[in-house]
Amino acid sequence: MNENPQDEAVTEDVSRRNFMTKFWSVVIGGFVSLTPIVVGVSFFLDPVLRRKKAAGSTGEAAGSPGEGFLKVSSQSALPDDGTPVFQQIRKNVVDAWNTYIDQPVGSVYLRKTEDGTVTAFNSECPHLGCTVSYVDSSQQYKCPCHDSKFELDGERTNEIPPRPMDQLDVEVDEGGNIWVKFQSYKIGVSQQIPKS
Amino acid sequence: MKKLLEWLDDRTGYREVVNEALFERIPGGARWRYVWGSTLVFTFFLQVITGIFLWTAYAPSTQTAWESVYYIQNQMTLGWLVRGIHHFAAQAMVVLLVIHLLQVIIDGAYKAPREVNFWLGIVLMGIVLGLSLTGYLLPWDQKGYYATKVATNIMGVTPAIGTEVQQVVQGGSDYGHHTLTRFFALHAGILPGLLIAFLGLHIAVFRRHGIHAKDPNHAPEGMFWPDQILKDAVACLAVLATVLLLSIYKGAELSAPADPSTPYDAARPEWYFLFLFRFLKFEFIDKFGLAFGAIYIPGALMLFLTMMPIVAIWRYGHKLNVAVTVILTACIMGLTGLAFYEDWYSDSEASVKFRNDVAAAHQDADRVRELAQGPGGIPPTGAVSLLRNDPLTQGPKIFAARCASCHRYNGHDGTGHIVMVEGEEAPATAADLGEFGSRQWVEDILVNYQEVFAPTRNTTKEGTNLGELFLDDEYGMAGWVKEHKEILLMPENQEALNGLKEFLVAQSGREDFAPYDEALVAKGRDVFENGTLAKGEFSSNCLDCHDVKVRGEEEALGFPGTAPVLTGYAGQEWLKSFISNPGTEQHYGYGDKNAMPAFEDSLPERELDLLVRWMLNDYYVSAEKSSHSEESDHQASSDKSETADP
Repeated sequence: MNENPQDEAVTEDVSRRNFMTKFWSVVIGGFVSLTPIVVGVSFFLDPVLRRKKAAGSTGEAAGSPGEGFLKVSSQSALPDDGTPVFQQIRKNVVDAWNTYIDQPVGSVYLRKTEDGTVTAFNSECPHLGCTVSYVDSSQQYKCPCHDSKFELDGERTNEIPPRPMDQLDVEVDEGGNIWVKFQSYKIGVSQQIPKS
Repeated sequence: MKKLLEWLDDRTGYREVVNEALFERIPGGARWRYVWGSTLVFTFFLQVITGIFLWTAYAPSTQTAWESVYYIQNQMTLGWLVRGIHHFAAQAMVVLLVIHLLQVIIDGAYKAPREVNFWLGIVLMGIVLGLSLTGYLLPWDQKGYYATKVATNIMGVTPAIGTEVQQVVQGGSDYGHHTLTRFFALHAGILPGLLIAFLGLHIAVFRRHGIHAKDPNHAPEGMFWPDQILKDAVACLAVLATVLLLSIYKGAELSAPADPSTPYDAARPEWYFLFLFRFLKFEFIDKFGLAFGAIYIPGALMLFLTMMPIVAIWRYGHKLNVAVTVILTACIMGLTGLAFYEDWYSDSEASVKFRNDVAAAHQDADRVRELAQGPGGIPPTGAVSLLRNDPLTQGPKIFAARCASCHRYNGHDGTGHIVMVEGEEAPATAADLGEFGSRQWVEDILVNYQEVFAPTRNTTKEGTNLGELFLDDEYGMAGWVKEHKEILLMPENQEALNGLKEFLVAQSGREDFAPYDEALVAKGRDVFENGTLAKGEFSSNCLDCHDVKVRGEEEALGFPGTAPVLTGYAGQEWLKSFISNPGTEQHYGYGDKNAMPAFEDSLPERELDLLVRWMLNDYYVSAEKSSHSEESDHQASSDKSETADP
């Protein structure tokens, strides 16, 4: 076919030009299409890529026994017979562009134990995050979703939840005020991993 | 006309496309069993149309999502119907999808050369389930909020990347504005776009291989147009009729606005995910960890589904596929049925509680609608504050939590539940406050003192039976009532008693008891001050022990005595002051009878306010509701009197 050497040179030339054409088409085409995609995907991944700006002060209340403690109740509000009391937790919350002042953010069960100390459990079920109820008749915590059950001390009585209820730090000051360091943990895993 | 169409065809070649679309040969003839795919395309068409119109009225943010859906549902022209169609067509789509899939498997239509199309179908199924999951959250009501939280928490336990996936989907570590904006972008943009793309491929590949005719000799060959299209159209009509009937007679639900701080114990996923929900209730599954039951097992089933065309290469593969499918379908239906039974028909404690929780959720949903339609409307901060600041919603809960360990409210804890301790009804140790502050309440204090405070016999104060302090005190109110009960109940003194009631209730200034009979109030004041009776006389007058500054006057009538001061009795200020500190001198200070704790430290001001306003009926009730409740009150009181007089 290529009897004429000049023809051969032409073919070679064409094929090289062909290669360069393909190469640059792919490179330029890829660049122009990937640019918006990469920019957009990074934007979309903001929740995991952004380094959290230091959250605004949550307004540490006077008399707080330590960082993150919130005054939630007083000792006199807890019955002496050890029945747990459901208590809402309120604090300032930032959600994207809004800051909400003194907003309910969750709830705890407070309880006076036999020796008079106060315990607090996050009411969020460690199984899948529903709010557990306290059942008076059986003196247990029970989740209305998938029937997780816990003793008064937070221990599991069945194996539906992956871990006991999340116990929170409690301080009682001289005035009998109860301070709780409110914290939520990752749902559905056996270890306690604090949520940011 | 004909010339014009020929010109158009010459320039566009449209005829070939139309011919190809319409004149597809159907070996074995048009059949009803081929309609499922078409009904799915039709429901998707319904979703696109209604979805785009809903889009024009929906605003995704935590302060506007529920509010805009409420507005669509309750205010906009045919809004309830557009939303109803979208809601029920979504469920129809899942049902039709399952039927379509089952038929493809049972008929063996997934086998070569149609494997790729089967896989495209599985991708489509994933997209449809994704659409229903994302759509469930968008109204931002309690039901969608808590059900979807479970789903995103499940994402969070995916090995290795769970936390990150969950954060990206939620737009942060918790639910908020960005959860809605993201779910909305997925629901209205990304997923429908993918669905259209994959549906295009699915139909194109389907056309390439033609219909899978199990028995091509069933009937003479037919054509897609018009033979099959008529059957498809009739099936679509049936689907539409079902969706419309459900929209009209059942309606799409909108529960109360999502509130992270108010537990929603009635949380359940959409009914077609109930089997998965029930599956996760098995302890023997959960003990292997949540990821096992919620991710690995469903994942394995999806993998098996995907592998079916390959399994079918084996001689008995198809039979195996069908057998597994039948067993799985039976299991899924069984679990769904079990979940339904446990929630709605079983008498176990948990089931009864669930049904109560559902009733309470409906009550909240009705109440928030009532408030939203009330004079205040929905504030810019969103509807969630309506219920949070509503005495009728919060009061009973606060009463149950703070008061019901001693007091009762018409026999229950305020929320309608009997107070239980260790499986038995707990006896009250203080007065039932259901009638507190009413004319009846005052009458009961004056003539049925022993009954009102009978529960005090069930407890002690510092070693002494509280009943002894309250009920056996000859020099206190108990003694006075014992002495004067007969006199007050004499027919001649009827007016004096009514006057006392009117006078004392008027001190509260409560508007729900107005108008007050001025003449009767004056009469009552005379009795209170001077003991003026038509027959008999008091050994001591009310004013001898109880001081009072009559509402609207500057000077007190008497001097603080040995009994509670009745200034503003049972009104807002009085009740707040009493609850805050019942042991002060103006309340129970003298006589050491008080056994009630002071709540000034433990009960936040806003809770005290909500509690008191609830107890004094100081909250908005629509005219429609209030006429209803008056009727039922009347009903209840007449029932009571019937049982009281055997």
